Amino acid sequence: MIIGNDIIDLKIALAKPRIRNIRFLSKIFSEKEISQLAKQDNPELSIWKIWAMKETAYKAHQRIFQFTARFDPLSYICDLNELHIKKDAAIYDIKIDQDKEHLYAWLATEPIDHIKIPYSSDYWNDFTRQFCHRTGIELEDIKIYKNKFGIPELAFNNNSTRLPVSITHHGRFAAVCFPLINC
Amino acid sequence: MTNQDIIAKIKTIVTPYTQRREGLLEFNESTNFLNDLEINSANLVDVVLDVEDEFDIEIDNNSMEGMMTVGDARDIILKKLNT
Repeated sequence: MIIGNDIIDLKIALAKPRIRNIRFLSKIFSEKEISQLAKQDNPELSIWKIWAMKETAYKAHQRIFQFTARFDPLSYICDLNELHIKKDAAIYDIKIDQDKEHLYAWLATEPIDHIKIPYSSDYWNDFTRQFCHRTGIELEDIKIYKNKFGIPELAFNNNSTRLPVSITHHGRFAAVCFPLINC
Repeated sequence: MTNQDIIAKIKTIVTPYTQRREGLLEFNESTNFLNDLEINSANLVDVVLDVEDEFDIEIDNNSMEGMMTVGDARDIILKKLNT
């Protein structure tokens, strides 16, 4: 399945104004995207909205095409009005949740669930505890598995099923999304 | 500038963006910016810009695409310094 997410801590992201930093913008956004940004009510916030959309699409795209990590944000073309990202022949529709503190982008082709937790050195344990609580799976049964491209899956001791997950953290926040499973 | 000088300068540049501090303890050419240092991908752009300023070079988008490890960054810097 296709799955991806990205979280932005707005307190950190907005601390450094970027809209006039053309060198920064031109490394990640096309001229068309930059002119789209200028028309937004809040261009600084929109920078991070587009960024989170591109990151989300990248994660989904990497899972489908299984390639080594690369940093090519310009090849992910954002349409801020339609909330989609075009990459080669693919179009990814992105959903966005946001409040004053954070911005969260995600996409999935099947129903998914999200667990948002505060980021700490222990956030993975916090996630697995909540995940087990929601799904009824035993804590000791779960392991994170990353393939050679760094793409994460949850592996379970008691069976060979692997669950695709997308993981993101930035500043104070972390989030993991995963397909809904029947238990 | 020696290989070690370049790697030391890269370390100084990435330190403020590093979320996983342990990654700085065993900093070498195979250190991966995203996996080992957990630099947020948005901050990778800051790293690229700081490298450009520090070494007075321009990193084109093709080079940036493959700048995932300290060794990648060093190779790109050396290549740009020699052209």
